[in-house]
Amino acid sequence: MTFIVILVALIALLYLGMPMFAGMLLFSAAVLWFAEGHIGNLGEFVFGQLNVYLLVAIPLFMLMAHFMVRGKVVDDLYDTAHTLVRHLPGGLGVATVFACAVFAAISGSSVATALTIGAVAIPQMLRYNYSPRGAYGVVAGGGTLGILIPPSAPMVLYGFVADTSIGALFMAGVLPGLLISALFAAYCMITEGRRERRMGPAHVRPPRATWGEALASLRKSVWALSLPPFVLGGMYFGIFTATEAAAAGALWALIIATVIYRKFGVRDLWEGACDAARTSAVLFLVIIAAGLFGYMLTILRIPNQLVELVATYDVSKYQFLVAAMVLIFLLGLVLESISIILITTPVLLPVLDHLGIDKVWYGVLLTINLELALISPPVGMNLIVIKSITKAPLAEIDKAAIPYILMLILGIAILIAFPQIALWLPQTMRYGG
Amino acid sequence: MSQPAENTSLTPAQRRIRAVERVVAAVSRAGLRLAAAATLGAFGLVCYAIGMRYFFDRPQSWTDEAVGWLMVIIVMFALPEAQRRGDHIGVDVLTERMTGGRRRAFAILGVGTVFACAFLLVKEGIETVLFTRMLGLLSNNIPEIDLWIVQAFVPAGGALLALVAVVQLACYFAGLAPRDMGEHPKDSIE
Repeated sequence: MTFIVILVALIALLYLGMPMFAGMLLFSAAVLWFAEGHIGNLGEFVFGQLNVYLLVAIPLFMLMAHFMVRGKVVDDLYDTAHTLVRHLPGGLGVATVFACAVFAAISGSSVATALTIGAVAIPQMLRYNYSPRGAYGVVAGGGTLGILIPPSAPMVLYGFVADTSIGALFMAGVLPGLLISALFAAYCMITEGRRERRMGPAHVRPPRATWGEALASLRKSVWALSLPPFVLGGMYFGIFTATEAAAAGALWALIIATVIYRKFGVRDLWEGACDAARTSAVLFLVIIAAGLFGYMLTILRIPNQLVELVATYDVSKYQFLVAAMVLIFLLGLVLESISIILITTPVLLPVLDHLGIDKVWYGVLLTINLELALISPPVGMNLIVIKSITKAPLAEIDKAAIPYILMLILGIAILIAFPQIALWLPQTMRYGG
Repeated sequence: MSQPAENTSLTPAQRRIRAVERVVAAVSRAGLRLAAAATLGAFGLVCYAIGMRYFFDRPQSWTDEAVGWLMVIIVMFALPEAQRRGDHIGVDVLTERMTGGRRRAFAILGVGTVFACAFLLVKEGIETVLFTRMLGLLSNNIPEIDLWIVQAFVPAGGALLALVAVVQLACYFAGLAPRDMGEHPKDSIE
């Protein structure tokens, strides 16, 4: 009950428009002051929260994505995907999902994925008579893959808060990411295939690409396609830690952009560093504030109370997971994903331990649920991105996202029923759970 | 409103605030440059550590700690510029629909809370620095460096953030909109 009161009060404060970090930090400090008469050693706490080697992975992954995008390395990705699948029903939609999945493995950001792929794919789809609602939906849905398919900043954050292996989390995101991509692609094929049949001879589907065309197209994107195996392979085989993988990936991206593409200069490098520093500053302040929030919850014994509640009512692992997923989905309607991770994880972690729920498995479920937040109105960032690209009414874009929301919920249900889809790959790299 | 057009319509007090704002903006941008250099430094150091381990079989224990310190510099010195440009993560569903005086009142509330946080960072940061200095704590892997020097980046960045927030508050109270706020959409990590 106390947690719900705290949560509602915090959300009300945030809706007054104050920056997330300021609202959370002052709120936590005020509660601590009333409960304890002091707020602890805040200076030492802030320094400790920032002075973490692992978290440097976040700005470095941002640098990597910047080098690839600004160096024009990813420009041909959509064309390649389209060449390979254009003969399929709904081929443009399938190509969009494919391009989103690959871009997700480069950028680690859903909004960047929706923005970059959407800017190319939506005009193309509309030009070739793809239904507008279908086009908006597939970019909104495909864009969410950005935080599930590694690298993923939210996964780094969750791993940090939950003290879980980032490498294992990244690997655990791969198969669920591919599964959800396959669901999205199948949906495009079914719905657009039906529409194409209704259109009859008015619709002409492009022919299958010849081997020559396919190879030529792959050659154009080979450098963009080389980055995900380099980063993920390095982590999978234990060559790099997450931070090292981010730095090595950024270096590889820098070499491709400067030596091979030759479209990247010192100015681009500097701008990338400035953007990464600014975005990191904003994010890390929220991490500090959420750290204090978590400390405040611990002082109030809220995680312990939750464990006692779960024990008293003999809640099973699956009942708890479903309840947690519903709570996170509801929070996703009013908060953005970073805050949800940082607010809920410290509270739910002791219950996960108590019920023997694998933290990596839960991390993947959490991430898919956060994808829902990205396409759920009113604060779904991907919906706003699509509006900015298309200028279409937000209500139309909201409706377009509904099938993708349902498919993500289906994805969560499948993963709750079959945890091995997420856990198999990390277990092959000797992750013990 | 373009700058020349604004200049002709400003009162002397408003002009003084704009002048101070320009100076603070320059200091804030210098902070961002330092943070960007630290970002590239961290990138270089991690690459160096990988290279030394795999190509020269000489793992470097000090680089991890140095990279952590660079992270402190990145965040604390990029923060004021992020505030100046209105980059913060927040929920603006309600405030975005407001207009006129009500919108300004909520903007003042937002910047006021940032100032309060900055004040806390400075006050608590200085106490930590003084305490560490009194104990004479040194870094684990680079003992040549006193730890308080690195910890001092927290109150220093906090002070710069407070300065930016004060100027933004002064702008609002003088009936001006702070420059550059919201003009540069932040990169999302979502």
